Amino acid sequence: MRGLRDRWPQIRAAVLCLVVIGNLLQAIPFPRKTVEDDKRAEWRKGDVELWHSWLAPTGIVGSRAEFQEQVVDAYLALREAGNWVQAPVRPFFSTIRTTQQWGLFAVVTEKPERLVVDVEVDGEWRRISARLRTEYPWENERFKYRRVRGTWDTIHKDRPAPLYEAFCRWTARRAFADYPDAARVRVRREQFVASAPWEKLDDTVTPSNERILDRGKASLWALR
Amino acid sequence: MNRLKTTWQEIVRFWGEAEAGTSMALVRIGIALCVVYDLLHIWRLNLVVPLFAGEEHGGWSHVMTRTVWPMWIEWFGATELSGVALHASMTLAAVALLLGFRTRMAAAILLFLWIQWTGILPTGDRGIDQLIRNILVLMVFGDFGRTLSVDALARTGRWADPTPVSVWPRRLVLGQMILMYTSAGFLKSGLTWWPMGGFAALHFALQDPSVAAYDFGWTRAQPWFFITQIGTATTILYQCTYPLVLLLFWWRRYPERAGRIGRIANGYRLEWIWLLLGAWFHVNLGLVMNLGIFPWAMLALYPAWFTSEEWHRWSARWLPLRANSSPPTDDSGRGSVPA
Repeated sequence: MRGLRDRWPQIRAAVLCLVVIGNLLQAIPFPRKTVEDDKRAEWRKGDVELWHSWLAPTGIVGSRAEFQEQVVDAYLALREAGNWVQAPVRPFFSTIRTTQQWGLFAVVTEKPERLVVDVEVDGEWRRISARLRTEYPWENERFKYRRVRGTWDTIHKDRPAPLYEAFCRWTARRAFADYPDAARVRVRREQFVASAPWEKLDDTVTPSNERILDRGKASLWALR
Repeated sequence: MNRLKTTWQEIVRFWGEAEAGTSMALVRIGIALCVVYDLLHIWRLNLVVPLFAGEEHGGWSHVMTRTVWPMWIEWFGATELSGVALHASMTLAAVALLLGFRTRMAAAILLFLWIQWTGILPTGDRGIDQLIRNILVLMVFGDFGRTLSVDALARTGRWADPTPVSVWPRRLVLGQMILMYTSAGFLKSGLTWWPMGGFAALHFALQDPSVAAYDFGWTRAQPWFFITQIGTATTILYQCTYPLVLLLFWWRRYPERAGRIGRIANGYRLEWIWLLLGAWFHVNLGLVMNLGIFPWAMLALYPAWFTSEEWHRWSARWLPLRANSSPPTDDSGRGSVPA
């Protein structure tokens, strides 16, 4: 026991060094997603094309198809290495549900989306909520809260956020309560194009994930 | 071999140093204030049930459809009452952490409950929540409640207790900041952060209604766009050069090894560049973007930059109540007394 106490400073230093090393390992941005065999030729086609066009004149890479294969192989090897290197620390980070990779605004969208809510009164749609439009302030305080944003905002193009349906029903219930004359409530995301000064202005608005709910649908919870 | 031994002894000394717990207490108070505010904000917005209960009971979570449930759901279900109880328990734990009442226990309970909540509503969890959970782990093991706490009051009859505590948790908080900023810089893969994208990232971020606090459509015009470009370039430069802070700390710790550049850096305390830029960056983010507690919780970590001795000196100079006493620490950032 006494020996352990005498050695405590060394043990503490060793443990803390391991803590630092573990966190550094977790910070390495190894790729996580795999590439299916049938998608190898299409994987990151644009990026690979660009790199190939830069490297081809140097003569160190072969044909475009060979280069695609090499890049995918290297990517998968890196992913495998990451799986192996981060295996000792993964249980800790998955238990406390955290990470050491902080991609804060790593990619900023040039096609942002706005959550909008409309109510149908006497057969006409009337806008009640649109973020950052002061003329449509309904539920702005709630919709702008960061945890609420996570229920409707998603980077996936092909599907809505996981909790979107529940969020829409909740929104509709509140809208029906605040607008008793409303027959239906419409919730959707509207994508628009933000442009830099050197780009042409583009007024295109593309709606997506539109959900129209009547009072019956709004009160259902198992709608998925 | 001798050199290896000396290095190891230096590492053991580095992790074994101690100082008064003021810096760590300030981090604890700042972080806990942010968490308490966030939880009360949820209650004020009447979002407790939507964010904490299952969709069968008026919430948004479909936790019950999963095969593996968080412990809280296994024990208490996903009802409205269990959601309200989880929120209330988290709030109480955060208040206990703020007051420094059973500090380590409060941090452990808050961490456990937060993990449960994240299991219930994963999409509600943002980067800052993860960062705070990392810090809570340090608060479970480090002595963040030694001073400026109810624990200190109960132990000594005073709110402030200058007894030295291990300084390693403060150093790990600093390490966490360095890792976070560096990672945030290196992971910026979007073209608009870089010269080939015209440094337009900040401009585009301000156009996004999800995160912008106001309508910033006017930043497309000059000179505002140019100002956002400067902001973007500064952000990238600031984050990608953050590892230099380690070098600056190294020079401060070992001025005899600093060399000419190191001595200049020490003389001008160049780390203040990163410190002040970071503070400026977060205050601005807090004003122009809608990121909740993110900028303020980040700022809450900044007291860890300074030794407790420095805090005592400043409080003695600026506050009417002088610090009672300070442990004997030197100014080199080495601390002075073994833990």
